[in-house]
Parts: sequence; C-alpha cells; structure tokens
Amino acid sequence: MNRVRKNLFRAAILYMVIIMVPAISFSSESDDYTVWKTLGLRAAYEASQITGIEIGSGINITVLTNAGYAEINGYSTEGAIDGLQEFTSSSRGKNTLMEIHSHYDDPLWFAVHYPSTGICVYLQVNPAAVEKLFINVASDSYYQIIMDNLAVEKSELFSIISSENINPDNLYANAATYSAKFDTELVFGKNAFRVVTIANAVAQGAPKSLLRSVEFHDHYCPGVTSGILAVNYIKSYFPLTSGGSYFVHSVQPWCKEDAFMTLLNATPGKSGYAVLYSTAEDRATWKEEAQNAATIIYRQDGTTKKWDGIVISITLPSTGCPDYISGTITKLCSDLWYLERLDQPESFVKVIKTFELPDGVAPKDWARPGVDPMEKLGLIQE
Amino acid sequence: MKRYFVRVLSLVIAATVLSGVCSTSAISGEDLQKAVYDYWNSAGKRAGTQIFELMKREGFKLEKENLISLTNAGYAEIAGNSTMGLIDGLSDRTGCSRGKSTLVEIHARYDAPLWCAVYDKISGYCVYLQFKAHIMQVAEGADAIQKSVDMQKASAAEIFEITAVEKINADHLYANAEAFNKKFGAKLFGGNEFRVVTIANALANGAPAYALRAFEYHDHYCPGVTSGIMIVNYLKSHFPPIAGGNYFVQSVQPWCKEDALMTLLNATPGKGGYSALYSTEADREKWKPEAKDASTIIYREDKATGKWDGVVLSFKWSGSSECKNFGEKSIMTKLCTDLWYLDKLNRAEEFVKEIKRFELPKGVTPKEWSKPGVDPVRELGLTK
Repeated sequence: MNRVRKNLFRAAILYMVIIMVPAISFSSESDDYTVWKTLGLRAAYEASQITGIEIGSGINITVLTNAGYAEINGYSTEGAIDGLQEFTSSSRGKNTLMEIHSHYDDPLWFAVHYPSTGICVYLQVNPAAVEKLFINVASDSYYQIIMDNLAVEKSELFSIISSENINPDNLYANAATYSAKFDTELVFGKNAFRVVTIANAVAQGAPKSLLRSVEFHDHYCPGVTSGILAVNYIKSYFPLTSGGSYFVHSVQPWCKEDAFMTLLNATPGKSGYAVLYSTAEDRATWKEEAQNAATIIYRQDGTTKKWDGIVISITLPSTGCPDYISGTITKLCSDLWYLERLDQPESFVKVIKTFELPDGVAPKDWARPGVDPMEKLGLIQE
Repeated sequence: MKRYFVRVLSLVIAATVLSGVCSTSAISGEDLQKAVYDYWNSAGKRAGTQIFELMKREGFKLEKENLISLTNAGYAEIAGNSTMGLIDGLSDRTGCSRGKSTLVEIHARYDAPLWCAVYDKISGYCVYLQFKAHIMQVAEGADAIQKSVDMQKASAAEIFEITAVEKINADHLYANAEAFNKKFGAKLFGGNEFRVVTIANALANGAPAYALRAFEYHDHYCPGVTSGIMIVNYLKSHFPPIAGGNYFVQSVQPWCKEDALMTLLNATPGKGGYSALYSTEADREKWKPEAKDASTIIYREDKATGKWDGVVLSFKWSGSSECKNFGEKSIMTKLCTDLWYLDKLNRAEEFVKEIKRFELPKGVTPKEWSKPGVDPVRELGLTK
C-alpha cells in the first residue's frame, strides 16, 4: 500500500470513528473504553481491506471474539465489541456477534466471517503493542487515541492476520491443505476449531439455544450438540410442573454439560448441578441396562416439593462423515449433520430409568462426597 | 485516489444513516427466522419507547449515556421462539451496549417470563417491563408472527403483564427499607427484584466487566458470587496458571461462587474443568480443624511435566460490612453487602485463605478425585 493511499485509509477511519461515536467529547465513556472500541473498529476495518468488501455493501457479516473475557495487561477488553459491531453491523440480536468464552489470559482475537463468500479474516492482538494504544489515554483527547492506534502498523498490532475460505465444501475439498493450516501453521492461532465450527453454525441458521450453549462452551462440537438434544428431549418429555426447578447430575460428563447448565439455568452456583467423572472401570460395574447412563435429571414439583428423576443416555450415531484428517473439519461435518436433527431428540436420547426420590431427600444428598448416585439408584451390578 | 477516498466516506455515511432505516423493516412471512428476529427487535424498540414515556411521566428526561439495560431475552423463549432480537431493539432505543457493559444479558431458563429493565444512573429510577406470555402465538411457520400482538399498534396493556417504575438506587432503598421490603415481597418486578436491583446498582457503582460476566451467568449479584470473583483474583496473583496449562476447579462446599469460578476461569464441566460435591454439615464435621472451612480445591496443570499441583482454599466472610440489617431476607441487606464487597474485589488476600498446598502423584489427575464414591478431602488427608 503506498503512503498516500494509507493516509487516506487512516483519514477514513478517523472520520468514521468520529461520526459513529456521537457526542464523544461529552460522554461519560472512559478513555480505556475508547481505546478498545477503536481497536475493534480497526480490526473490522483491516478485515474489510483484506476482503475488499466495503461497509455499506449490504453483505452479512458475522463476528466472533473473546473480547470481554480476555484481558491484556490487566485491561478488560469488552469495548472492542462495540467497535466491531459498529463497523460490521453485526449484532447480538441477529446472532451475528458472538462472544466466545475464554480464560482471562488467552490472547485477544477477532474473526470476521462473510458467509456469502466463506471468507473469514482472523486477527489476533499482539499484547506487546497494546501499551502503545494507551500512550496518551490520560490526555482525554479522543483524536489522540485514534491517532495512537493508527500509528501502530497492523503487522505490529496484530500478531496474526490471516484470511481463509472456511466454507464447509471448500474445507472438505481441501482437507489436507487446511489440516496443515489449522493444526500446524496455526493460521487462526489456537482458535481454528471454535472459529470454523461456530461461524459455520451461524451461517447455517443455528438456533439461538445452540449458539448460547456454544458461546459458553467456547466451541461447537458434537458433544455439546448432545446436551442440546437432551434439553430438547426434556422440554417435551420431562417438563417442569407447577413451577419447580431442575437439578442435573452427570455421571459421565462430556461437552454436553455446558449446554445443560446454559439452557436449563441449572448451575452449581445456584445449586442446580453436580458432576462425577466415572471411569471405564466404574462403568463396568453398572448394570447392563445402565451401561450408557450419562446424566441424571431431577425435577422438583413446585407445589409438593417432591423430586422425581430420569436417568438418560445419549447416543451419537455415525454421521457418515469421512475422516477429513483435521479434527476441525471432521467435527464440522458432524456438527452440521446434527444441526439438522436438533428437533429429533427422540432418535438420540433414551430413558434408562424413571424414579422418585424419597420424601425429604434432595438431589444434593446424592451428590455428597463419597456418595455414588448410581448405587443409590440400584444401577450397580450385585 | 481522491475519488476513492470520497467513495469510502460516502459508504460510511450511508451505512450509518441506513442502520436506523433498515432496522424498521416490515415483518416478512417468507423467512421465519428473520420474521422472528424482526418481531422481537420491534418488541425491544417498543419496550424502549415505553420506558422513555414512563420516565417522562415521572418528570425525567432520560439521557442515553446514563442508562443500564438488563434483560433475559435470548434465554427466555416465547411460543418456542428465540427472543434474542429484543436485545437489538432495546439497545437501539437506549444506546446501551455490550462494550460499555451497559447492556446486560441475564441468564434464565427457557420458560422464564420475558422481561427487560432500564435503570437511570442519574435519577436512580428503574422501569421494569414484563411481557405477556401469549403475545406471540404458537403456530406453524410464519403464521406465528402474523397472529401475534402487533408491537406497533397494541396498547401497553396488551403487551406488558407488569409495568413498574421505582426508584431503586441504594441510598433510597436503605432510607425506605420497610416499604421496599413489602414492595419486593409483593414481586414488584415479577420476581426479578433481586437481580435487577443488585446488578443495576453494582454497575452504577463501577463494577468491573469481568464481575459483570459472572453476574450475568449467575443471574444475579450476591455476596456469594463476590467470593468466587475474589478467589479468581487471588489465583491470578498467588496461584497463576502455568504456561499453557489449565485449571481444574473442585468445590467441596458449593455456593454461588461456583458460577464466577466457571465463568472467569473458563473451567467448566463440559470442558472437563470442574466438579462439585455437596458436603453437608455432617460431612464437614469429619474434616480436620484446619480444614473445617475448606470450600474449593484449585488444581493447575503443568503441561510440560504433565503434573498437577493444587491449593485448598477457604473464604473468610467479613464480620464487619458496616451494613445495617434490613431484615434477614431483605434485598437491601444483600445489596449493601454487595456494594461493600465491590470496593474490595482487589483485596482478595483479606478474604481468601490457603489451607493446604499439594501435588498430585504423577499420572493422577483431578478427575480421578472426582470419581463416584471418592472424597477428595479424605484423599488430601484432611479428614479426622
């Protein structure tokens, strides 16, 4: 890019930022917020430059980011979300602005996906460059904050900038190439799996219940699908009566747990969830009919306060997807297969046992240290 | 080149102007997903407009930069449909956003009534609106939308089951605690009084974004979730992750802190990073005196060696929060305590105590201490 054109781009960003942040000089927004918001704008802008897709072109865009969870040098980063949203017109309500759960010390990243072309631009922030964005933050000059951002070359600001066509058909057709790109070259950092699976789920019109679950789970895999299927089964065949609440007790945990907690709002912090990590050795002691027991769902009657429950298994059959070398691509294929079957939970979820808890006994009593609920349920071989 | 620059600017202006126009597009029956989005987007706008009108009647002119919006939209479903679109409509009218931590998405079960609330930091007033369950009809395809209550034409009484305007800033609540104990007892905000009052006041008092994430997933702000946030802050300083390694959280005395631990450490059972055992008083009586307050075991992995070490923690509640007792179950009592702790989130050492540090034997993982029938406190030699 020659110098003149680069300066014009910078001026365009500056102008855009100014008109998109009304009355910035008079707002109560913090300067830190402005720094991060400008970074979000910059990331979206760089994505548009890479793809050549200009704003206002009417093309749908999905944005994924761990901003708001990831922290850099002690700074919280959620302000970047607003910058991304304003540039791309993605939104929470349209399910096109995905906030992906992460650990606070994970790298901050943004992925901008253009479903109509399959192109996804991935940008990972270089933490070492971030302090430069804050050089003049105390000056209260919004103009200066923008200029400080623009003074950092994109190659310095982002440790990874890459663009790939993540359309499923393209990935299937070029599996070996993308296996190397995702798993060895790390073109999307360590986030290829979450970006590829979630972006494609959104593009395929995944329901919000699924997207809430995968946001919290931080990726979309067949395992979390099984939790969504189980919740859909519960809605139809084990609904709450007279108010009440659920308690989820997993005896064979996998990714499904995050869907249970999210969709039933049954969390351990609200005394609605417990988990035991059974081993193959433990399960070998379970009765034949309970071999595949995965989760115990208890429900309390809002009126009588009594608890009943079901022990369920969730079977994930072969999807017919071949081995695409890369786990990311193989799982994407399975994900999309399941996506079309979320309304058929009966095909996957089976009830192993129904039961009532004795009066005065609550699920938490079966979740005490040293207690095995499978034994309490009489599901251990004699 | 000049032409190119002008083109870029024109597009920017057009996008900005059109963003308002496009959002008011008519409901289409052709694409159910879009139609559902449009319907709830419209509902969010209607709610926002209603809130401004109600506040105007109270004599206040709302300024967007002073507002905090809360809603369970996107979790609550109506007629089996996602209500996520409401978030956009509400944000459009109130100016609240995720990036500013002023647009709060509160966790809820799918069958919870749909509600939204807007709090004005300046006046301390809050408007709460709860939607009627039947505003959207259960029907096949796009008919579901066609038969639903028209968000633009229907009266407020046809749309909202509960409409409430109350001053809920902390000082006002404390000064009128008796009256508010009664009002909240009568479910002034449809049973959501606690979550609305605590989260709105916490944000107005500068709660950090990471704390808000924990409040959102926990669905309210209470002293219990504060303890989880403080434990995480303690870990950051005194038991940080080893490069590339993970945490595993095992609670032996679960309470509200769990949701903060899971959210802030991204240590969830779905990713094999969390377990919980509900010890009773009888169980804890068997613990050694030094471990009687043990609540959480934090394990961390060293990826290079494959080994895990851990720390057993307790949380010591302060006996002097300087809060008046407004009643055992009073929201005001918990709110006051919440705000007292809010100022001390960065002083985790005063509240979090280490009971024991240990290493797991090579080849042993925390999951093995989370098996059926296994008591980790006993494994740690902390039972009498």
